[in-house]
Amino acid sequence: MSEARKYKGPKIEGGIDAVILGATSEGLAAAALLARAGFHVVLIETPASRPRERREFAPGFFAESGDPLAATLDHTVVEALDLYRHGLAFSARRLETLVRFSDGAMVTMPGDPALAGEAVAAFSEVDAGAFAAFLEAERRTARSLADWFAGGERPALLDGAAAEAATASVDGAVAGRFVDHRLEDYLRAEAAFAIGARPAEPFTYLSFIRRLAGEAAGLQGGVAAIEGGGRGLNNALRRACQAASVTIRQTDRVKDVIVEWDRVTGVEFDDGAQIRAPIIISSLPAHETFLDLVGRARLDIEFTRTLDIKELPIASVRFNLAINGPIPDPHIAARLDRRFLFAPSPLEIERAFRAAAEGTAPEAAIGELVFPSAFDRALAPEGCASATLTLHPLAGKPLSDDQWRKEVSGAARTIFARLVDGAQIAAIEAEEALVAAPPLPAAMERRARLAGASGLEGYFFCGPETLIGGGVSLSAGRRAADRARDYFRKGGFS
Amino acid sequence: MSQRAAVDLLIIGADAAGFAAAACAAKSGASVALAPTGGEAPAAGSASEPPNFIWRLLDLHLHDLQSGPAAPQTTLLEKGALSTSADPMRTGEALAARDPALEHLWPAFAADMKRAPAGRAPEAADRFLSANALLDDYFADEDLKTHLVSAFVAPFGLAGDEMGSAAALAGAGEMAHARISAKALFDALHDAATKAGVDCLSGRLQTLVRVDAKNWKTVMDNGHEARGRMAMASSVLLGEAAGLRVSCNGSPLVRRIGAEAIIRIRYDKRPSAAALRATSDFFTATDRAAILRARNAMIDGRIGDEPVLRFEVSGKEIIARAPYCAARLRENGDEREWTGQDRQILGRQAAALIEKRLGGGLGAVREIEVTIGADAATGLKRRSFDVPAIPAPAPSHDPIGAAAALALEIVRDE
Repeated sequence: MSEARKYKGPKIEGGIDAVILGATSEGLAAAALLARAGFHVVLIETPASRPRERREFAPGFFAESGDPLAATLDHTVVEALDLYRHGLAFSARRLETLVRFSDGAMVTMPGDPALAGEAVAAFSEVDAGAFAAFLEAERRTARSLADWFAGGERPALLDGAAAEAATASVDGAVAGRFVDHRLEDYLRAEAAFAIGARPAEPFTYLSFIRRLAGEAAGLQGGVAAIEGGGRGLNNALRRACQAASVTIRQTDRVKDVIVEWDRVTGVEFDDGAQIRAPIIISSLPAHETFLDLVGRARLDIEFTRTLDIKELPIASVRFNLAINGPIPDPHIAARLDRRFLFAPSPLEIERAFRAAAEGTAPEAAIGELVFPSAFDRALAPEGCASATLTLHPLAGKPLSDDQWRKEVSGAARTIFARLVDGAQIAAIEAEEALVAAPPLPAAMERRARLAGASGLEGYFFCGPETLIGGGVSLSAGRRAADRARDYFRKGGFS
Repeated sequence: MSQRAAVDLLIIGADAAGFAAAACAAKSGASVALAPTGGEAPAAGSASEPPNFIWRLLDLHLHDLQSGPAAPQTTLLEKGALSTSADPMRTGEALAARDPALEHLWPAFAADMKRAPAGRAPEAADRFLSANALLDDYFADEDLKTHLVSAFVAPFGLAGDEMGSAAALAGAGEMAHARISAKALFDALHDAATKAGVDCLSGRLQTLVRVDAKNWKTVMDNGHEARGRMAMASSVLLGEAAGLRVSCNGSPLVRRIGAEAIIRIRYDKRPSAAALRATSDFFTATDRAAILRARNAMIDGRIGDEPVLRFEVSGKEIIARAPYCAARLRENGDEREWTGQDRQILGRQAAALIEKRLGGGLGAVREIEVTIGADAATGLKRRSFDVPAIPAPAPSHDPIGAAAALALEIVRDE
């Protein structure tokens, strides 16, 4: 009897239905959803897609990675994956926002937008009715567009309010609404935050509607703090993946995506090993997903134009601050488990955009401040506080540039001091620069193109470019999983 | 106080576009009333000839309108002039002297821009493009890009870096409107509107209110009122400057800040500089950075160091338009209106810049008159959100045609 011939080449795995690239929240959600639908799923966790552990940014002060707040969580994913059972928890729900204006005045916006009229009455009685009516109308518009924001089809016929909202500039939509123009400054700051176009430019207003369309902890338009920040959500999703029997592999050796004719058939590693699967979902950045792993030559030419659109030269920068001792400002110290927003004057915002275009640090910028230590006492020593301040707009320069880091840290100190009077900053760390998103209609256009027109069958995308309106949402992962499931059911791969 | 029967269409804004819209709507059988807002700019210099459907509908040939050939656009740069005209082939040949590649590139650009408005689907990604990004895609010649922003983008009060401002370049390169005296055209349209039975209200618009689900009512500052079943503004700018909520299908070309200044510089004799021998629309911007500086000065509420101008010669007069002009000036954080002295500063700046660009030959300045145009921001401070928005034509290089087309669409839909 002759001995059976042994295959000595690289390992080739088959019998797998879907490979998910990247263990981002969207990737994990897509993996878990497909696995629960009966697919045999392998998730490849690259080092870059792995959430960072809690780290000490100053002696005794810790920071979690990612955005500590969630405003746009897709409740259908949360329910479908039973994420609460897998450890998703909110350390605070319906966070109210304390808005501080450039003249030092303050207004508190309640966590439930439906109650905003009462809060505004205390600030500007004459505007209370108009503000409540405005917010209610915009919430209605937001509800009608919620599916579009979450990756659904653009409504074929937008009605009057929605059509206006989809194209309006922030200035065009809010100017002249209220007697006290600081209320307009608040709306301007909310809408312009994290967007790479000035509030006077068209298409910018839809961001505000997006904020109202989001749902966090069961409340439309609410903001919640997730326990453990981005890592907390990621852990819950990871447990959901494990419960659904997703195989998670950690490797940084993915070489490319195998394409045969016009469809993907698996991934190849740098040692020649392959995983063959008819479906691949990537949650990695678009450039990596398409240009690095597939290559320009295999992609639709029109599609590559979308990939070639330059990133905006404007960024939001997140800072971690270590606050020594108690916060003397009584308005702030009264409750730290809130969201704080610095709303500069229109001219200050204009100048900040101008400084960003020139590559210099601004004198003022829109600032979103959260005290993570108010939600998790272990993040700061007793009697002290840790803060996360996100500033927008800043120039999109790398934070590895020492001089630039120093300049923006100086700006962050100044703006923090305008928001919180008299606090003693022991240390400040510029953690991360996030490229500003295009105004929402442009971002959604880009998302639609990236999700559907690569020319490769079986290749689905839910990378960071599909996140609309900032923050984690899980909608992109859900949509990618839905499309993959439809493709599989229709037997497009066979 | 007088009250009249309800008309079919109320038109807000008694500029040339308003009269054209009113006359066209009236000619197609609608009853129309026209309400001046007081923000209308005086007819000065030359204007683009209205499109053919207006000529036909309003019998404009019966009026004494002498239209000249379509004027080219010329930017007077420090190192010479750069001209483009409505003939892409000829312009391409002329530009080839600067860069041989432009001989073919310019006609290709003109053809693309001609297709742009019709071929642009509402969802298309390029509707978000800025003019600067689009021009950077086509050309390397910085002077040419400055010229195109000056000629096609600046008239909207935009500087080219705004999202969606590429829409202003639609038609650039093949835009061929014969020039016609703005005053004569205004008079002809006014006459046509009157003959068509348009009710021209006296006074200035004080407010436009929604009487009930079916009717609008204008209230004029002299107490006169008019009711109408439909209402429209002759332009977004005039409507918003009058404090109205205006909708123009989300055009990215709407001016939100600042105003256009019209500077009339009268000389002792007809200006005779060599560059003025050929009729043209002249532009003075040095480069795109200067355009941005002027736009930023407008936002800051300052008189910039160097205005960006578009000018033409009319007899002994040069009529210049400065698109980036602060509607109100800001000093030490406080806003104030323009004073006579401020106007003189701007006027002298403009006269000096034109003299410099033309290299002399203008003679002595007799008088400078500066008019600051309608300011949308004034109206935005006091508009009422309780009433629905009224339609207005999207800002375009042919405001008269756009307003008339919208009026016809409204009355025909009805």
